[in-house]
Amino acid sequence: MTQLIKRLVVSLDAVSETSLAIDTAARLAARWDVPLHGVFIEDEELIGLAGLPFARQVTLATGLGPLTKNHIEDHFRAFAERSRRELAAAAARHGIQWSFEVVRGPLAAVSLGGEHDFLVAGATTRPVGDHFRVASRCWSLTTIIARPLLLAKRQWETGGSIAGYWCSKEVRTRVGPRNCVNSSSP
Amino acid sequence: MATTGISRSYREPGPGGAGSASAEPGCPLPAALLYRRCDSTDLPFELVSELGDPSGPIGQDRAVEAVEFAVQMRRKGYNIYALGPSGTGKHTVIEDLLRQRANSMPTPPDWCYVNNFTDPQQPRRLPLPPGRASGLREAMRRLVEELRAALPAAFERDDYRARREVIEQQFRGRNEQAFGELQRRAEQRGIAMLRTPMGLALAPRRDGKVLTPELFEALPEAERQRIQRDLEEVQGELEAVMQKVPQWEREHREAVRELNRNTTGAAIGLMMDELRAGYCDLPDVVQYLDAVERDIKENADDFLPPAQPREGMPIPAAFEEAITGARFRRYQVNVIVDNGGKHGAPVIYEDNPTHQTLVGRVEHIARFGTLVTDFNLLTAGALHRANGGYLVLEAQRLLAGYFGWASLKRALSAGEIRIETLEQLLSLASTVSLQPEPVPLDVKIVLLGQPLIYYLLSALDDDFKELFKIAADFDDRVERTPETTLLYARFIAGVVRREKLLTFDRSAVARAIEHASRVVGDADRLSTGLRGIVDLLQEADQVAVGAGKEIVTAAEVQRAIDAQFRRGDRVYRRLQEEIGRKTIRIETDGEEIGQVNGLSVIALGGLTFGNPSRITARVRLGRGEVVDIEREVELGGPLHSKGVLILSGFLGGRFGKTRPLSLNASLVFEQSYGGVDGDSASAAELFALLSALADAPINQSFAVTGSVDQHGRIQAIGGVNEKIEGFFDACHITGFTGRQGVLIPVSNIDHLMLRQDVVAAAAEERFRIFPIETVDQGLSLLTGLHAGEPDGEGNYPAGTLNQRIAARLDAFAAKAAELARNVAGMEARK
Repeated sequence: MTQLIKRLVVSLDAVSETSLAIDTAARLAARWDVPLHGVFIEDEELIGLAGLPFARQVTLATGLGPLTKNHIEDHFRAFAERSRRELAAAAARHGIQWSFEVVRGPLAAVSLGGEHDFLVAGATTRPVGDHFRVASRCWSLTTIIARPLLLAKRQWETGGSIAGYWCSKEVRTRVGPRNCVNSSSP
Repeated sequence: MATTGISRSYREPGPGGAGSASAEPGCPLPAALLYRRCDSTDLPFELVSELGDPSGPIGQDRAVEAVEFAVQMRRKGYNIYALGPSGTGKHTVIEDLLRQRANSMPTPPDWCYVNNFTDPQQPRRLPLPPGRASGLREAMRRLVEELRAALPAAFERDDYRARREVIEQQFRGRNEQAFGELQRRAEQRGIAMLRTPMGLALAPRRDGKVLTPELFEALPEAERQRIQRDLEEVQGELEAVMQKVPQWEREHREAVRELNRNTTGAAIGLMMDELRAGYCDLPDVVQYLDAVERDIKENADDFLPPAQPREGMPIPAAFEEAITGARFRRYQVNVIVDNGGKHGAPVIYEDNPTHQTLVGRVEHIARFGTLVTDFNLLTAGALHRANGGYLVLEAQRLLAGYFGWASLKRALSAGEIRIETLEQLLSLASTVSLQPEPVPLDVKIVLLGQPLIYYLLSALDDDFKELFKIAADFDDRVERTPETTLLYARFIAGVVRREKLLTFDRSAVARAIEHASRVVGDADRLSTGLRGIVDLLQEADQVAVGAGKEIVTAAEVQRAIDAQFRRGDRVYRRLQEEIGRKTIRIETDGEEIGQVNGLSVIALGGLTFGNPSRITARVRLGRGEVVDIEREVELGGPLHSKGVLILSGFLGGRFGKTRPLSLNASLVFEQSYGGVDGDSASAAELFALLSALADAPINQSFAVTGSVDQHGRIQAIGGVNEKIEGFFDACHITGFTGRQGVLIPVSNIDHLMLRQDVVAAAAEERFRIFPIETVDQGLSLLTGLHAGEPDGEGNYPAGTLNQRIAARLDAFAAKAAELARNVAGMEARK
């Protein structure tokens, strides 16, 4: 396994639930003794939307308001910093090496990691209010990348399982469903 | 003035009396009058073990009556101040009386503090019948324990899960329906709904991708306007849906809460009913349990396992434990007074009466770097414990204790105990703290203290008079009669039993009783300073044990008395040694003009002893002043100065009617380097002065004690026994001549309880005690000359002392007149 997977890559962004993804990735990295690498994706679609003259957003706190590029980029920076801190803390807890980078592109980035990277991503967006969630665009990753991918969801949303998906035949064969992370979330 | 004064007979009553003896002023006292013996053969027992305990305290009838009145008086303000010298048994007597009374009183209720679910900052007090508070505490502990198991089980059951899922589904469905329809309509118009970091946004889409600004600008104008119109319409709908979300969330939370309430109610209903049934006779408790039930229903989540942390960070175990423990503290019962198993009212003695020990305290615990508190950290004070009974306090400690006196007065005035921190009391802190509901106060306070404190409080503190209306005045002595002697013997018997001492025979008891007279310096009185007597009995017991005896006799008591003196007599022995070595010059033989041996008393620690001092007087021509050198150098106290000024009055009255007093006299305590006070040396000072005036030598074999008035009458003084013994020991060390003795006031004869060696010396006429009533009697004894009585014209017979004094004063007056004439002549010549 460790010969095939050289690094754990965790996909991070400003709208997904990332904490569980970070912790899951850190635990896997510790178990496989590989470094952890965080990639924070600044969603270029949102930046493009903000560039439109009529761009607006609706929030529970303030209702309808303008959506500007500066506004979006400020939030990206804030969320990126928060993700970096969480990644560092998780790596420290598990005693592993870590690195972090910020990239701009589509959420379904094809450039996430290389052939021997295991990719972990949060499977849901943060809710609007307590109940309504927009579908995470990370699911689209499953159809476009050809590397091991794990989408992490929380216990209270999935009944305790962590959904896993492997698109690499080689890895699926070597790791097998039995060895995938099937414990409850931490 | 005649030296044959009034004959004074001296009674010798009671057990051990040595028969009648009489005292004649100016004549040596018979040995029988120097010590009043307690004849052991008159005591109606052989060993004290044959005696029962005394029926009451010795000689404290007045105090006992006051206490008995006060304990029966339940009106406000009838608290007691028991005043009396230390060691008079105030504490023991008061406690015995209070316990007797308390035993017939009802046992007061238990007191608890419980959470006030409406306002946790103001904990509620809860009284329960004695012994039932701890039961409630245990019942509440069990309830929480059972709920921690029962409630999670109730919330894990399928029916709850199903109902909860229905609620979740309803609200999820409502959300999804609203947003889903909106999303579908948006998609039909080529608009995508995107999650932004803060909310939702709508974006035009082409081929599954959001239009970039460049592509949008490339569209035809009509198309751009249509997209913009569509977006604005959908945005309006999105905004409308988003406005409904908070209301939906509220409805969801309320639905879940209602479900939880119902589930909890079903789970705990039976338990609460059983608990209430146990306290159905106590409406306050039932009311409290109702509040508990409501709170549990409202906060059922507290009993469920904590949700998983959202950030994936593990919660430290200590933190988790502290939070869990803190959640259930509000259901605990803090029993601050538990009177279970007690009979009658409490009698509490608080030996450290401060604000907090009296009214209780609000304690704090450190939790994660901060100090926190709640009603469980309220602790009772002495007033709580004594509530419904009696509280005994030492007045001096109360006044010296931190805010004890102020807090006690406040509680008594208000009739309630209010637990406050000192910061609250003094308004020093503005932090929010607890304000527990006050506990009604019904207590009788007994203060024990010195008379001085009582008099000062009476004079200076108006509240004191309102709150302490009863003074129980303990006497330090009691008349020595056959009845009190027997009572004393019973007291000794009680001490022997209580302290498990060897038994005392009647000789030992007799010696202890004699010592009790000596302690108060009065042959007709017995000391009620019982602590000192108890100490003596214990020490005599120790002496007997050391000697391998089984019965304590007079010999052991005497050895204990001697040892007590010996332990503290270093300074006394040093002074005596220096007298023997002539470092301190005390003449005990021969004659000196203007010099007499005076006697003073020194109290050092627990020992009081007499000390002879050489008093000298010098006279010269002057203007009628008697100079007190002690006062001039500020070594003399006001009473001593008063005594010296009285001498001037005496001289003026006796010799100044027919001549001017043209003299100056100076008086001094030789080799005295400390302060001198009291007027007990005024007679000696007068003798020295008159000796100097008469040029008549004084027999140095004598020492004198006594005060004098302006008419020349000798008055009683204190410490007569110690003074006589002090001079006796000085004579012993310088050598007995058979002529030595002490002149004392007649009025001090009743106080004589001298050491046995002094009495023996008197019996053998080696040392004599002369009672005197007047200055003239003393002068005659000291000089061997007649004082002389004045004739009708105020002249004294030739050769008498007074005639010699008058002649000297005449000579001073003549010389003064001559000098005045010379001065006048000199001025005229000028």
